[in-house]
Amino acid sequence: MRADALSLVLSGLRGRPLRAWLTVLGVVIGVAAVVSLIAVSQGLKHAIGAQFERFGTNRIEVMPRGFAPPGTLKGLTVRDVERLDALPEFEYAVPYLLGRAVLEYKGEVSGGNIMGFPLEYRKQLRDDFGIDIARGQGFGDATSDAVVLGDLAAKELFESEMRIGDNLLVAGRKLHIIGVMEPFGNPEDDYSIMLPMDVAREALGDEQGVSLIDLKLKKGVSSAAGAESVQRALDRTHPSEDYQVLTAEQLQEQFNSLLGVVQAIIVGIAGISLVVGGVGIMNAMFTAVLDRTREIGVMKAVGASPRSIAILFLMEAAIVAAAGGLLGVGLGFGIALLIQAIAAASGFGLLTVTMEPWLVILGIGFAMLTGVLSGALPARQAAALQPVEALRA
Amino acid sequence: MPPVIELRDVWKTYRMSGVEVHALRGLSLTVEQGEFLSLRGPSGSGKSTAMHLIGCLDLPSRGKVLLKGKDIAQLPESSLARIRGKTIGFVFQQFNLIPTLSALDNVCLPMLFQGVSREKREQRGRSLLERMSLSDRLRHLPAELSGGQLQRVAIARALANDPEVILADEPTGNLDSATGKSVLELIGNLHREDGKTIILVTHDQEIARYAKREEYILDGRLR
Ligand SMILES: Nc1ncnc2c1ncn2[C@@H]1O[C@H](COP(=O)(O)OP(=O)(O)OP(=O)(O)O)[C@@H](O)[C@H]1O
Ligand SMILES: [Mg+2]
Repeated sequence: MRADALSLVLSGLRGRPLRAWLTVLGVVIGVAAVVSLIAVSQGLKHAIGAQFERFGTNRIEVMPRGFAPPGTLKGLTVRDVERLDALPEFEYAVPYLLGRAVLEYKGEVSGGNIMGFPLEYRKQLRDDFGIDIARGQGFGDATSDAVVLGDLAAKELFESEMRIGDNLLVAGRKLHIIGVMEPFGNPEDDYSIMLPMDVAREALGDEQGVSLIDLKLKKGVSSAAGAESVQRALDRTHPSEDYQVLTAEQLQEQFNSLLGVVQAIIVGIAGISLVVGGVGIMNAMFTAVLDRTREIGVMKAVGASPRSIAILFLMEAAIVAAAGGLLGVGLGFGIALLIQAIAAASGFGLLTVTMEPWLVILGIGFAMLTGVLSGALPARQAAALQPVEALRA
Repeated sequence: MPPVIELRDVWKTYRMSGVEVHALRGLSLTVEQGEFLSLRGPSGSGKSTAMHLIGCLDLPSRGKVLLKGKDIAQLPESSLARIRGKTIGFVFQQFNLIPTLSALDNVCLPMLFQGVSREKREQRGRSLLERMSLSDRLRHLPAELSGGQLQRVAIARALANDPEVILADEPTGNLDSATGKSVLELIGNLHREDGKTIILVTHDQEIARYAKREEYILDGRLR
């Protein structure tokens, strides 16, 4: 009976292809929205996880407090760095100075983000922060007029790609390009240009300021203890707390809570889309019952029980929903991959979506559930029709 | 053995916006196994209403409808569905085929609801359509068939579960007279060759004469 009912339902759907596909489309849109949003948010989660893996758990960052692009906030100075460097909890404190400077390459002028750091920490830069050089060399045995370029900075800042060995003018000072870094996967890092601190100070006209302090915890010191020590050391000179201390845990927590909000919104949108798809199915099924009242009467006249009629309509709803679910999952991953491609094109190469089996099952399963729930009422209505009245329709 | 069909003082009353319409007013009728009966009467006399009650598509307002001695008002809907499927074969004036199903699938439909296997269904469906001279129309949709062909498909469908009773309500009402005649021949054969109990509803005296027994209905009861 089940297999026969299936073929009966299928020929019914084939007989009204436009209506069937429109109903399927309603489900496709809902499921595609759900699947693409979840796939992208999963990808985002992985990307952030990867970022933190690189950041490491034995580091603390101190930076001026506020909402502004990095490098534009002031407040920390070299004296703060000295104070932190002297703390027993840390192996070292590396200051960075960030800012925008006028660049000139082969006669072409452009603006770019420069990042000054003290050359004496070049070893730590490589060993502790995992900054890999793709081409050329790092600051290993560099002279004080060297620059190392971010991947995108090298490719995008000027008409032609900057090449190792060429000169780059930074705020009028001639520097030597010695290397290009591996892509980080986020545009903020990939567009930066690393150069010696004194060059940055001169280019940015800032003798004392510090945009960011990187601290490495000694073995056995917890990041919480480190953060507390930083706070104590800076309390006297910064009573207004115009700085913030970030540990890997804190950062991850912040991101996770943000991601939690994002995912809650996604679940909300997902729910709404599914309800919309379900209402579409319900509407289509009620219309089908109305439309086919006479057919239902005929089926009853030739011996269909209320149960058989209900099964037929439920099955129709389930098939429409399953088709919608299947196509929706496909389209959803398609959209997610498109978002990934767009993200990669704008520098967020870290964002990768994967086709996770549970998401496929979730998408199709929810579609089926919606279909059966939405089909239940119309199916009951069809089953309860009085044969004579149905035949008269 | 009780008669196949027995109507005892059957009333059917419709209430339309407060006004009561009596479609049947004390109709009594007994039909024995193997009879070929015509039920003739003017439009609105209650012929279709009576057919619907005999076919278990509706229940009487008063009186009793007995099928092989059983009061249909006492049976649950599932039993009524089984009777409609196995004991009664309906032939309608408007053919009432499912438009999305082929001729063969339409014929097989009553067997599907009785749980007959696909193989057996198709085998029987083919032979029934062959008997109706429609072997070359198995895969056609109703929209691709003529009126006479449609009614022959409907007769094949009525025979699908080999029912004891065939109820034909104006089966020639939508056909020209030549086509109608051939359809009536087919129905007559069901009586002669298959020994089916047949009720043929019509308003036409000539058509009524095809039957062995003629009854006349007026204002909801036999005259
Ligand atoms: N569902 C209904 N609601 C109200 N009145 C009805 C209903 N069904 C039938 N009637 C009325 O009952 C009476 C008998 O109807 P029925 O269809 O049985 O007549 P009939 O003899 O088959 O007529 P015809 O030859 O035109 O088919 C008519 O007056 C009709 O209007
Ligand atoms: Mg009638």
